[in-house]
Amino acid sequence: MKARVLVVDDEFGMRETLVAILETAGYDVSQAGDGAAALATAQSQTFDVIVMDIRMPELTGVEVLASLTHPPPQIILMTAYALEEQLRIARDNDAFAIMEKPFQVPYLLSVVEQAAAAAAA
Amino acid sequence: MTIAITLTIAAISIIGAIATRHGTHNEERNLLDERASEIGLILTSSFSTLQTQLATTAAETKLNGANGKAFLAAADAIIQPQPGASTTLVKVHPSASTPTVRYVASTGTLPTETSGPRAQFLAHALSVEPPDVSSAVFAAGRLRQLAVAYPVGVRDLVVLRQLSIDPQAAGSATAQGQPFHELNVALYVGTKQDPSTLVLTTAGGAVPLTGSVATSTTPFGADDWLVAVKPTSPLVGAFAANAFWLVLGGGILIAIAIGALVETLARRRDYALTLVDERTEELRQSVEKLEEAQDQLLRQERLAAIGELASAVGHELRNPLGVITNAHYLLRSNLDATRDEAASRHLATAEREVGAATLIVSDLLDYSRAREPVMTTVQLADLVEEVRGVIPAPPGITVTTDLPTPSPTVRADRDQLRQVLLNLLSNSYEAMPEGGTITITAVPTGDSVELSVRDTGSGMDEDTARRVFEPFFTRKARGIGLGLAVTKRIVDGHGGTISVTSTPGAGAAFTVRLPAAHEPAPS
Repeated sequence: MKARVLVVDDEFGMRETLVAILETAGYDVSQAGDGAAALATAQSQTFDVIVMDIRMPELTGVEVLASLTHPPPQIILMTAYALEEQLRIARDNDAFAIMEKPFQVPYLLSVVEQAAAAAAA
Repeated sequence: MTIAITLTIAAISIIGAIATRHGTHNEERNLLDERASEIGLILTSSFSTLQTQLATTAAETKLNGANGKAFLAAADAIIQPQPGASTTLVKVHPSASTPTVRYVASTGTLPTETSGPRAQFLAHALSVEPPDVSSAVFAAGRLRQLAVAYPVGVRDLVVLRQLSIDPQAAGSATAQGQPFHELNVALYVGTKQDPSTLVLTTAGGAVPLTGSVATSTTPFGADDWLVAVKPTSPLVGAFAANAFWLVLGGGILIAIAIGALVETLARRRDYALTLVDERTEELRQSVEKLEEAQDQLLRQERLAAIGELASAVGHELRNPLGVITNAHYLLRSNLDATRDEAASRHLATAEREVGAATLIVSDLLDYSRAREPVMTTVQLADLVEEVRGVIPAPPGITVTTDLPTPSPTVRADRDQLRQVLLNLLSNSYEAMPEGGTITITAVPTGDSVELSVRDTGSGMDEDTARRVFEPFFTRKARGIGLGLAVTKRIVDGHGGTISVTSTPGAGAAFTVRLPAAHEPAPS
């Protein structure tokens, strides 16, 4: 059974490459282009892992994280420019990992794999 | 200068004093000469009056040998009788060699001698042409006898008036306020100051008069008498007489006073100038400090502005770099399947360049994101080994470590110190494109530890060594010059120091001094 991953990023290039990389790695990948869409998708479907950018217009990744209730998926946050306050909220809401862009792909894959394993447990 | 002014004024005073004395002296001389002349004139006037009266009496009494007594009485009345004075009528028998006389009649005792000095004097008196009064002084014991002879114009008869005088007591100084009171006077029969011919003096025993003496000859009948005068006090007045000393003393006092004044002013001026110099120097230093502070502020502001820009740009570049990295990963996956070696090589180039760009962005963000160090005890030997493992030496470069056992420990933020070592080591690698040796040492020195990274690379000149820690300063073809700036900021944040010594062409040595740890490192 493939783990279900939701990729959320307002940057098309990032979103598309991440989706491609994760599909290649064998995950069942969905995508959302902003925070509101991510929230709607995450509440209508079930995901094991959400890989989400923090800085997005209107609803940030951290706000989406704080709004998600049940069942809580494992959230991996990505940031190019995170504020300390956002990082604190992310940690308080049990984000699985916070990854600084740019990151090496193998590192991402290992983190996603760990998150999926944690979700399955 | 003070001495010159003082001496000049003193010299002027001396010249003025001498000129004053010269003038005073001349004036004194003139006054004295005037007084002598006045006295002479008074005497001459008295004498001529007497002569005229005697001549008139002789004519009126029809003087002859028989009525000599009557003439004498008349004459005596004219001359005014005095104690010790006598008037005698004398018949002279002139002779070239030894004249003789016969005393005809006298108001006093009739003399008996017929020859001698008196006879000669009387013969001389008779021979005077035109007839006139003759005078002489004869010694008479302690006293003198003033003899005045007048040929009465009748046969060989001569009137002889004799007066006993005591020259010392003959006169006394005239009272204050009277004419000539300021003078000592000596009257001589004859033209010389001969004490034996002294008739009278107001100077007591101080004759002949010496010093500032003026003389005047005054005719007394056929003879000249001499009046000698000497002032008892300066004729020009005490003030004028002392003018020399007043001018000299006053001038020298003024010279000294002006000298002292000039000296005081000069010292005040020197003091003021010294103060001005000091204040100017203080001001200059203040201005320098201010300018330095201002420069530093401007530099910091500029760096802060650049830092903000760099930070913003760096963050914005992270997304595209991330996308490119991801895209490279996908490309690499596909290429590995197709075994297109050329494409694979080109992709490797792109991956390498993205890696370099990522490092630059990391440097930028490291620099703009200063973090407070979290201090722990760090064991240096472990850290050095770890860093060497993270960035292995490129081919041609040998890295040796020389640390004492047990390893020195320092108080530091381990991650930040790791960053410092990484920066220094990669810096040394880049300084040795031709290869060489890097030596890492750690030496405990009292309360601190000196961690050094020494290479045998190209080194740097003095200017570069001085500026190498400035942000955005770089002499490399690649990089934006933030590595060592970040390094220095971290070391500064630890309360440590970092320095570089270098010889161009002979390598460089970076030395970091950090506080030594007193607690053991966590295992």
